[in-house]
Amino acid sequence: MKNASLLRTFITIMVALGIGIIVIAFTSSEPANAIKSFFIGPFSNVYFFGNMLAASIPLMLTGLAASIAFSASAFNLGLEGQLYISALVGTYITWKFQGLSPFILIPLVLVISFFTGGVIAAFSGYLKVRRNVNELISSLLISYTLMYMGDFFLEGPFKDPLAGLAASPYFDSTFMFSKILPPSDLHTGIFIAIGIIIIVYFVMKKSIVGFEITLTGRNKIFSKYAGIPVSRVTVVAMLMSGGFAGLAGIIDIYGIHGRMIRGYSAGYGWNGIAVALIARNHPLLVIPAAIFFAYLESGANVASLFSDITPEIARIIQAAVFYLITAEGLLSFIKARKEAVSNG
Amino acid sequence: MDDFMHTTITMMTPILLAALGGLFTELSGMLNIGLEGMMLSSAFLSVYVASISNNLLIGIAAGLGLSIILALIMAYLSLNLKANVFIVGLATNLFASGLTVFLLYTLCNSKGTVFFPKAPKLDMIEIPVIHNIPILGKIISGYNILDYLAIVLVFVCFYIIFKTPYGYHLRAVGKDSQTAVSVGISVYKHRMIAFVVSGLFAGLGGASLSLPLQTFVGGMTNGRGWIALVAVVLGRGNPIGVLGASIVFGIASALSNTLQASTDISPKLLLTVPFLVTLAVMIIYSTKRSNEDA
Amino acid sequence: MNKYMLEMRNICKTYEDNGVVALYNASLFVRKGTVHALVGENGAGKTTMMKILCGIEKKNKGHIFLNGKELEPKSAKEAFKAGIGMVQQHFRLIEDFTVAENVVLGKERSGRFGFINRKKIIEDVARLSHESRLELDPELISANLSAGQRQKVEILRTLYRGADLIIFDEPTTVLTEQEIEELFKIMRTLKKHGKTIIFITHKLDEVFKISDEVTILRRGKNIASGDINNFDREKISYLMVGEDIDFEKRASKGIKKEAVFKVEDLCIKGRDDLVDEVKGVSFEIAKGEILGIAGIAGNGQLQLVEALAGLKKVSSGKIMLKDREITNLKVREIRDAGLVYIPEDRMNEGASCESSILENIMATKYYKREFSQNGWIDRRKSYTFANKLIKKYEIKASSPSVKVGMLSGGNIQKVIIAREFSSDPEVLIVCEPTWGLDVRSTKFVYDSLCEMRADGKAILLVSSNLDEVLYLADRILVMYKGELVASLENSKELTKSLIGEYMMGLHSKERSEVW
Repeated sequence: MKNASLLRTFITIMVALGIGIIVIAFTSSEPANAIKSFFIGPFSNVYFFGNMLAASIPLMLTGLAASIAFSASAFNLGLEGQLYISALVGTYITWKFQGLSPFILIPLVLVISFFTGGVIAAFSGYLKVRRNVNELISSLLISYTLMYMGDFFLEGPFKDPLAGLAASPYFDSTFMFSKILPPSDLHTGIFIAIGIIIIVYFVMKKSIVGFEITLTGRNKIFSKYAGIPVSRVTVVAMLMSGGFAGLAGIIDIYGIHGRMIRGYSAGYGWNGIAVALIARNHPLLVIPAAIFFAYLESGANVASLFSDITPEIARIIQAAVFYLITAEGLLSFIKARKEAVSNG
Repeated sequence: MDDFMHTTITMMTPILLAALGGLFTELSGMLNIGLEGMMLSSAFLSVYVASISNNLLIGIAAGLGLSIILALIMAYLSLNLKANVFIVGLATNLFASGLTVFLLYTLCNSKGTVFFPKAPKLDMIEIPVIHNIPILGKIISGYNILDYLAIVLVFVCFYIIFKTPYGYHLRAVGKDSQTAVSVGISVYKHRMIAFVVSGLFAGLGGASLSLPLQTFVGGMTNGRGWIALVAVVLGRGNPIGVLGASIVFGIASALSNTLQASTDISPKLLLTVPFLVTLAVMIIYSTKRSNEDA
Repeated sequence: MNKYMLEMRNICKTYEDNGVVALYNASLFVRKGTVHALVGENGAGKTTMMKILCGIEKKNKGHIFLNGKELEPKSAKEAFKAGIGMVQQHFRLIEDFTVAENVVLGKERSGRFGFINRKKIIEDVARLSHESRLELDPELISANLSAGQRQKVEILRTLYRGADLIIFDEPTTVLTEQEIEELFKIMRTLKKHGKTIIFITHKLDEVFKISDEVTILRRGKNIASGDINNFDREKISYLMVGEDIDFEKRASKGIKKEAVFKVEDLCIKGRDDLVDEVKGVSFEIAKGEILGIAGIAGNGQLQLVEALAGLKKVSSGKIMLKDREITNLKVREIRDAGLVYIPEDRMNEGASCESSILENIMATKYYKREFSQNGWIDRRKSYTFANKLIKKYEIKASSPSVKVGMLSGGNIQKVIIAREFSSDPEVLIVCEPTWGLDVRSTKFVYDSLCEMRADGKAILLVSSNLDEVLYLADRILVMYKGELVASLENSKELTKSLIGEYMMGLHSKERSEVW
């Protein structure tokens, strides 16, 4: 069974890439160049390669966030809003208190960002268990609201008057994470992300919390019957989910931007969900899955620099992945195709 | 006040149309999350094709065609290949979002807002006698054809769902698919039809968004598909209920618009109003868990 | 001219997803205008065979002839067209629809503009119900119907579609004795109207009461068939199982011991929070006693049992385990106090089919000090523990990592029993424990329960299978419309029909006498 789903994942990715190639071939006046830039571009130099890895960091965390919620059978679609507001709060506190030592302030801000996102997601979880409100919709509605609120602050009260775009003031560069692969943006945040993922892996596999989340996600009725506190488990899972989304937001700011820019996190939420789907909710697999998606976005960006392709190609490939990744009938469809072809 | 009512109905139409489509899939037992994507794709294609063909009907047909294709993709993947219907819905939204920006760039060389002056205008229809009645006149008359169509469709759907054999079969499939199977009703067929219908209605909803403005803006559906989904859930399987919920959300949107025009409150904050109202309504009308332990 | 109306020849069917051979060269020959009993224990293949006939399942091999013509029913629709109708064991009604709407479902005739003419449908159904003596008000909402009435809707449905061959799949499981008699009367009327009836059952007295001919299936094969007068109870029983298994009453004749579980004046509200579904129920269970609750499903037993297990709120009354009040405590607290519950729904509630045997067993123990420390679970200890249980209860699985969904029904019940018994409870609540199990697994369950009783445990057995209750229980309570209407010692004189009368509510006023 496990082999079947790995095979299906592989086929999905191949088909999605294939679709990407076809679209590029049809819409570019120089398809060969575009395709080369897309697939090879991210590896062609340290700058592109490092940036690709840097872009995978928030996806690792939002992917982790989405997979924890999925494991408990909850749909946290509000990742982007949770991420955005948590990053805003974290940026503000860092900026306001930048006189303090980074060794005190950064861990504190990480914790605050975690709980900001966590409480927001937990609220949707609470609505689900207490009042049967569909968390898929509630988390999304809240997310839209939070994005607008965040923009309001970045365009108004928290706007840097000297900046040319809607962004907060910079905080002192001593708070930035060190770059580990100049001239690219890759920073030490990647170690934090991977470290968190490893910890979560052990928690899910061996701890009581992990056991409860797994069982609740697989069969809620049985879990209630067995005495597992299903409501509490769901809310905790959503809390963790929103928390990691929040971390994704603030770590990106500490690693790359040094301030908060309106819209800097576009796509982190949906990509995170895609990552969780490819990783089949397995924490360790989130790492390669996140890198893969960062690779897609990277390839599209490089291709758009060196040829006439628009970066939206990545979105279309991503959609193809979403379309196919849960299609359990995909393997039998392909088998039937093979048989039809071989039988003439 | 009558201006406000007018805006409410206008804002309500896209949501109502998409919600009616979502109602059919919900009655068949599937929650169609892709309404947003179907609306968006139709919003783009209908105004684009209307512009190059200089014909409203052809434009609308093109928009409907695209949203129905998206619906068919959703249906095939969910019903034939057994994909998770929620994920496929998300895929539809992502695909539509990428596709519309892509087409906007490829065909119109822009990534933001495009105005289509060549697209025929959707006239406001002034109903002869009624339009002169003092207050009521402004509220009942003066909408475009799609607004009126939406209201008419509510009642058409009501009759189809509750008074025809098809409606009985559809509801049976959604309420208890095993029973439907045992009396010879094809669950697959009805779910497939429901998806196509939802594509049709969502397409109309998208067209009703862009055509009156002769404009397409990237991402212009802006969450309306999700609000339509809430209207479906609140409607509890009845088109009249869906209408009621859509009116409430239309009011919220109209409020947001009116305040943006008439006050200094930040537009971004006002844009949160429809979502907050939708959330509040969802919470208020949710059922408390009864008779269970934590 | 063929003498058989229905011939099913050499039917083979293997289920793809788990490789189980359901039918192997099984044949069935039914004469027109007879009641033909199809008999076999659970899992013998009777239902599969009928599902193939009705187009709900596909056969792998074999032929079907109806009135001499070959039939390949690819769907329920085709079976209906051929004149075959099935009244299934689990009634298939849309709760929100009326009786009339359910009867015509799938075959509605539309009038002008494609609309349904409600009046005509009600008239048609009323006429049909009168002609077939199945009196039923067409405008009733199906959610409010009793089991017997629901069955009538199913029968009317087959008649509305003009069925000549009507199959009844275990029709008496949910009926009272009186309703069973009514059903037999209906069958005789249908026979008089020229219908042919196939009657699936594993209850032998019914076979002898109503059928003309019988076919016996065992493990997917046709073992014997013929005129009912050529068989007797022992012969059929032996043919069904392949060996002699005897169930004698096992009630213990113990001395009255102290009560260890007390329920006082329990009231439980229904789902709409308005009406009481359980009204003022009180009883006690002593150490080493099996107390049976008999009653037609839907008279409050499920609510009662769920409230005792902590899955439902009690609106008033007390539940005492030894000296501790456990009313409305959380499920885990109730389990820790020593009460376990084996539910009727094995596949969804009693076990998590997507999870492994290990996870299913640990689901009620993982947080305990023997298995976890500081929030981390000791996997080695859990694995060893699960292995021990697999050996002790002879669960057919290669390791604790096997998914429970891959096991047979009997083995799944063993996993559940292993889990619940191994927490050394004081009180066990057990619901429909042998539903759908074959004879061997059933025997295992009965042995396990009797062992528990001998160990001094208090057991509450809720079952709609009166034979089962009579075999095991020391005392029997009867529930009717949410109230306890009888408390009877399980003596030799106690008969099923007396219990049946209480189950129908015929003696509720005389409650005070029997106490």
